[in-house]
This record gives sequence, structure tokens and C-alpha cells, in this order.
Amino acid sequence: MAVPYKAPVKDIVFGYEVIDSYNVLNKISEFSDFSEDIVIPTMEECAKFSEEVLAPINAIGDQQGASIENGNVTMPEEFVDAYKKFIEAGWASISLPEEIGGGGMPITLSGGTLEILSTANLAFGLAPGLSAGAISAINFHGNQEQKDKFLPKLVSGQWTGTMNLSEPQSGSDLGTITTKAEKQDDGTYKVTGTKVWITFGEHNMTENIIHLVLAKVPGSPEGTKGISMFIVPKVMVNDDGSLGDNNNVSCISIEEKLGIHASPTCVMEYDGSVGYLVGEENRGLNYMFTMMNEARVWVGGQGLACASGALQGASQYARDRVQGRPVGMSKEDAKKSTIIDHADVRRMLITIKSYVDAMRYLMYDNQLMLDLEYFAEGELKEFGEERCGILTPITKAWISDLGVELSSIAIQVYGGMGYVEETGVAQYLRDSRIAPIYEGTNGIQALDLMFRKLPLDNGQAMQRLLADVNKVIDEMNEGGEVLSDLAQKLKVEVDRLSEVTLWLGSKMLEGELVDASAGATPYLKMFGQVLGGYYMGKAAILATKKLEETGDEYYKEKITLSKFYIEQLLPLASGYASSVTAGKDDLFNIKAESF
Amino acid sequence: MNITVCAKQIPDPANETSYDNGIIVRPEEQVLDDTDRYGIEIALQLKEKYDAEVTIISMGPAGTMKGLQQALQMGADKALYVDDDSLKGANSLMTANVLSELAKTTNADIVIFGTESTDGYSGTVPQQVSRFLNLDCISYVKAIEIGEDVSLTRQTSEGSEKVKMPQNCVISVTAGGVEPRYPNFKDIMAAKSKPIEKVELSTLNITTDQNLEFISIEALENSKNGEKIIDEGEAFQVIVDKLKELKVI
Ligand SMILES: Cc1cc2nc3c(=O)[nH]c(=O)nc-3n(C[C@H](O)[C@H](O)[C@H](O)COP(=O)(O)OP(=O)(O)OC[C@H]3O[C@@H](n4cnc5c(N)ncnc54)[C@H](O)[C@@H]3O)c2cc1C
Repeated sequence: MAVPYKAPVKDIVFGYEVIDSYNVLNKISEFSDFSEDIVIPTMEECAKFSEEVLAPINAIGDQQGASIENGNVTMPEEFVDAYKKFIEAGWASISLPEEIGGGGMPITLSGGTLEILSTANLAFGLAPGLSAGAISAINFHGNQEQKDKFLPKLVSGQWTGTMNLSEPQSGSDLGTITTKAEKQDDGTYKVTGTKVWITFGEHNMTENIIHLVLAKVPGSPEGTKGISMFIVPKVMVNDDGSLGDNNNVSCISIEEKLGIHASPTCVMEYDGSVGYLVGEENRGLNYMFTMMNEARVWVGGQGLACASGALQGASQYARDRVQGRPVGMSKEDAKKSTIIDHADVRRMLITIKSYVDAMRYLMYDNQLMLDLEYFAEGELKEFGEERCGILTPITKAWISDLGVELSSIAIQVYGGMGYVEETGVAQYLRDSRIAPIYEGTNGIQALDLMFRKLPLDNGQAMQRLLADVNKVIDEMNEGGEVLSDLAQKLKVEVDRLSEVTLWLGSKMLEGELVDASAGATPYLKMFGQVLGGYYMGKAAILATKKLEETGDEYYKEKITLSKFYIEQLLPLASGYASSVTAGKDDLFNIKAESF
Repeated sequence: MNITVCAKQIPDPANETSYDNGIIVRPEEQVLDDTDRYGIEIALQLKEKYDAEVTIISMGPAGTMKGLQQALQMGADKALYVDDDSLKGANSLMTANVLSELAKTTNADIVIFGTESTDGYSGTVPQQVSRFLNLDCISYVKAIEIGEDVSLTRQTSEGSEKVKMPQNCVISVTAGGVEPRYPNFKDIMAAKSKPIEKVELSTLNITTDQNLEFISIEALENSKNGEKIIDEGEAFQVIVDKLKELKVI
């Protein structure tokens, strides 16, 4: 039996302090009263809901999955019921603007709720998650009529939304899509084509589904410059809001896949379906970009969620499982001991636990920067935009990769019982594996970091981030022996990262782009590792202060987790440096057919 | 219509309960007794029908008032509480007296309870309150049907019976009868500005004595130790035989 999920509310609330969210958000007029009084009850109630409604059906979703018959996708009954409760409780819309029926809270607040909901049931959370993308698209770029017609029911969750980008020949490169949209006399378009991999493209939890579809209008420019975005409802919506005829949208099949079994991944066919153009023709991909940061941070959060869930199971199992006499323990004591008394098992658990903390701070901070970008003004807004640009590919890729790795370590803690399905931990590994793939593969994220973000403002943006890390190091140096010792270790890694960044910058200036691109993934990993150190340094400073104030052991453990991260995990960063600067030669000196 | 729900803040059941001289040690932060969520749910369903006001009343150390906040988050309109040192260890009659007086201050038409609190388990307060208020008591309600009239289904020793809800009464609700709602996010935010008011004990008309004496508290002994069956390959047979012996299979 899987261990019942208990959301780590105290850790989450601590995370909001580590990133200084209250002070930063209070500078924005809409959020001037954002405080712990909002965060704590929100997380507690979201935890209660997720623990009682979503987590208990996670395994059911995994085993039963979604099924298809005659084009109708059926969800496990429990999911239909849970979805109803979910929309009643309003968790889907807390960070949407009040004008459209949302909760009007900062995006930062949904860091914690997304973490909790996704840990409890990743597959379930994808339905409202994709709706959020469709809502933003319509809200940012749709006209008033479209907003009036589609937003209220999407925001309330009465309908769900999807994002239709991929086609069989167009994954990472959307320039090659062939779905076409032909303009009709009444101003609507006829959309025809096949989309693949469409998450929740069809299901029976709601009476309508609003698809956002990328397509090409005949005669539009080649490649990515000729892509437009359309709203294509599954069932037509009459002017009075009632439902009309079916819109020739069908789900042909759903995929059998490694994880997220309760999230139907659909092949969708549009056969002259009525589509409404969003914004202007040929601007579709630009519109996608405005929503991409939010979606990518969310996908990073999915890695955090899987690792955090897997840790709960593993630590409970380690406290229960009796096996082997720990080194240095008497025979008598060993009778009462469990595997958590073995140093190696502890190493696995603390590795997961300290990464989970570091990942959480990064993800929440990335969302804080999104809030600055969207809601602040002037310099603060510019800062948010710049920082968000750099953090997003790292949040997406570093965290989602770790989600897989740490879920795998959690299985190792169980031994054989982790490999069998009964304990539930294997599901986290399978579910986590999608996050490095969708929303732009992690390879694409690494290229984004290197070719788009590193050169921002002639490299100054990157320098400003590294300067912020150095500021935290200065602060740690002032904070007593333990902190200053950690500061020195962090310094070594930041300096190494700065050197490597300069090397990459000069390669790019010299036009040696292939050499630079060869190092993209190790560079992103190195960067993530160092940023982890930066946040764990901040956490250690805060925990030291809190420990003095309260004497609560909890903060002592937080310091230990930071210490472990900085001393034992952070040094991996330097290890990546030689791969970053190795260039392309070895990679291409093996013939394609020799692999 | 005024509906009053008696709700109790209790130490989080997820933590171990500690006692001091037989009295539960109450931390600053207590939570809403889950049992009370059923009563609140019924009150909220009635609120929708009658456009009623729902007031939470509570007796006990207020602390951070988290439990009361949780009741307001579900959708109740306001809360009143009495927190007085002299009530420490109050017996159920005293509790009923205080709650009845509080209910009077809200002009309650209907007073709703959970069946018994998760930390006290006396299960007699609703009936006592109905006597103080001179109202009918409909106990052990397990379902509610709201149509033109409201009918309540109560659990009885023989099975169940359906009664029409009068305009004025005391109701006690069993756990599992209705499904308490999860607070909506907007209600969670709205709860922060709903009134929670302290009522001084001295302003209430208390007519009973604290006539309960606490003698001691002892841990319950396991009445019977289980039998250990060592599996040497044949344990299943032993278990099957035992179950047959008990006529379970
Ligand atoms: C479960 C699931 C759900 C999905 N949900 C949706 C959805 O709701 N809507 C939607 O539109 N799509 C969805 N997708 C599609 C997903 O976004 C794509 O799978 C993803 O973009 C990668 O595209 P691809 O699979 O065609 O891989 P490819 O693009 O063929 O990539 C294959 C490999 O090549 C690498 N690669 C490709 N191009 C480059 C390059 N230029 N430089 C370096 N490396 C490169 C990639 O990193 C990857 O490792 C989903 C996919 C899955 C599996």
C-alpha cells in the first residue's frame, strides 16, 4: 500500500519566506497585503483537499487509466467525481484575474498549490493545467466576444481547455505544421488537420472542451512566421451560451504510455471544424510565447512534485523496514533498528530531501519573477522579465530531470518493494518521466538558456544574476562560522560558473556555435546546481535567524539540509565544467551508423 | 432564520494528545473538530434554502482561533466564543448551559451539533441544550432532504426514521451522513474578514454548577492479546481453521 500523502505545508510556507515573497510582492499595488495570512490557510486547505480527494485516487488513475471507445474517452469514475469537487473548491483559478472570475492572487501563490496538487495526483492536475494555458491565450489575445463566450466556463472549470501544437512531423520544430485554416465569408475559419499528443483532448469530465489550435492559413509565410492560433470548441457554443452542434472534432486514438495513465494523450482530427482566429493571423507562435514561461515553470514543478511524493513513501518505508545490522550497532540495538539506520540509506534520503528544498525555492522564485514581469511597473517589471527569462529554462529542465533521478533514488530506498507496483513509488518514476519531454524538451531548454538568455543585454543579465549570488555569499560571510564556511564553498562553484559562462560567451562571439551548443545541457545542469546552492544559502541564513528566535529544531534541520547540499551536492557543478567547454569534436567523431 | 452550529476547537488529532491531571492539554493552535463539519454542512445547506445566517458558537480556549477560522472558511457567517479559565474541565451540563446561553444571544431558530466531540466523547450536550432551550431535539441525523419541506432521517436502534424538520429545534448530526464541503478558495480568503467575537462568561446567565469531580485517568489495557501464528509453510491452514471455528467462513 502506498503511504497516504501528507503535504509538506511547513516546508512550503518556509519556502515563501526564503524567496522573500512577501516583501517583493508587497511592492506591487495589487498584492500590497500579500502575507503569511494568505499563504498558510491556502496551503492548509489545498493540502486537506489534495490529501483526501486527489491522492487516494492517484493509484486508481495509474492502474485503470483513461480508455477510448468509438471516439469517446472515459475517465475512471473517481476522477469525474473528484473533478466536480475540484472546481467547486476553486483551486484551478486562484491566480487568475478577478475580472474573469479568478481569485486575483499572485502566480507565486500557485507555486505551493501546484506542488501539492501535482504530488497528490499529477495526471489529474494536467486537465486544469492545460485549461490555464487556454484561458491565458484567450484572455491575453482574444477579442471581447471570445472572452465573453469562452472564459467564464473555462475559468469556473465547467469546461476544460487544451493546447494543440504538435503534429506527427512537428514536435520541437513547429515551423513544419500542416493543419490548415481557411477563412469563411462569416469571418470564421475551417480548420482541417491532425494533431498528436494532445493532453486531455477528449474526456468525459465536462460537457465541452475548448481547443486552442495552431494552424496555417493558406498563403501565409513559410515556417514559424506563418502560424496562427484558433479557438475550436468541441461542441459549438450558441450566442446565449447554450451548447449547439458537434464541431467535427474527433479523438481518433489515445496513447499507451509509460506514465500519467489517467491523462489521455489524444490524436485529434479536425475535419472542417469551425475555428475562431485569436488576435491576428500569423502571430500564433508569438502568442504561445507569452504563456510559455508559466507553463514551463509548472512542468518544472511536476518534477518537484514527483520527487517530494516519492520521498514521503521512501522515508516511511525506511522507518519501517527491518533489515541488516547497521555498521557500529550492537546486536541488541540492531533488533529494533530499521534500514533508516544505515548510513547509505540516509544518504539517499537526505539527497532527495535537500534537492527537493532547493528545487522548491527555485520554482517559487521563478513564479515570483513572473509576477514582477506581469504586474509590476518600471524597473521592477524589467527586472522580473529579465530574471524570469534566465530562470525559466533552468526551472523547467533542471528540476524535471531531477524529478526522474530522485524518484529513482526513492525506489532504491525500498529495494525490491520499490520496483513492484504495490508500494506506489514506481508510479512517481513513471509519471515524472514526461516532464523532461513536453513543453519544449530539456535539450531545447538548454539551447534556449545558451543562445537566447546568455546573450541578454550583452551578457549583463547573466552577470547581474551572478552578482546576486555573490551578495548572498557576502551575507553568509557575515553570519557566523557555519555560514561563512558554506559561503566559501559556494564561492568556488559560482566562480567556476562565471568562468565557464565567459568561455561560452566568447565562443559565441567567435561564431563557434556548434562548440557552444555541444555544451548546452551540461551548462544548464551546472547552472541549476549553482542556483540550488544560492537558494540553499538563503535558506541557511533564514533558518539561522529563525533558530535563534524560536529554538525550533526544525530550523536546525534546515541548516543541515543546506549544509549537505552545499558541501556534498553542489560540487557536482564543477564536474560539469569540462563537458561544457569540451566542444563538439568527440560528439561528432563517431559516425552516425556506429552508435 | 438564524442557524447556530456548535463547533469545538480540538488539538490536531494528527498529533498525540497529552493530558494534565486528566484534562487535555490544549495547544495554542487547535483545529476544527471534523465531527462538526457535518453539522456545518447541514447548516450551509439550510442557509441556501432559507437565506439564513449561520453563526458558529464555541466554548473553550480560543488560542489562535484556527478552528473557528476553518468553520468560517466553509461558509459560516460569523463566530462567537466563550473562553474563560473557570470553565477548564467543565462537565457536559455546564458546557450545555454556556452553549445554550450563547445560542440565545444569536436568537437561534435551529441549533446544530455534531453527535459527540472527537476529544471528549460525552455525546450528551445536544440533548441537554434542547432542554435548556426548551426545543425538540432530533438526534443522530444521518441525512437531510431539502425540498418544499425539510425532512431529516435519523438513525435509530432499529434502523432509521424520517421526520419533518420543525422551524425550531436542536439537531445532532452523525458523521458520514452528509458530505462536508471543501472550502472554496474565495471563501478561505473571505473568512479572514468575517467577525469572530468573544463573549464574556459574566454576561451569560449560568444556572448550573460544576458538579463533576475528576478522580483519575488510566490507560485502557488490551482486553485480550492476539495469538501469534508462526508461518512454517502451513500458517494459511491454521488461519482457515480458526476462521471456520469462528464460523466466519
Ligand atoms: C504525454 C505527452 C503529452 C503531450 N501533450 C501535448 C499537448 O497537450 N499539446 C501539444 O501540442 N503537444 C503535446 N505533447 C508533445 C510534446 O510537446 C512533444 O513531444 C515535444 O515537444 C517533443 O517533440 P517530439 O516528440 O516530436 O520530439 P522531437 O522534436 O522529434 O525531438 C526528439 C529529440 O531531438 C531533440 N531535438 C529536436 N530538435 C532539436 C534541436 N533543434 N536541437 C537540439 N535537439 C533537438 C529533442 O530534444 C529530443 O531529444 C505531449 C507529448 C507527450 C509525450
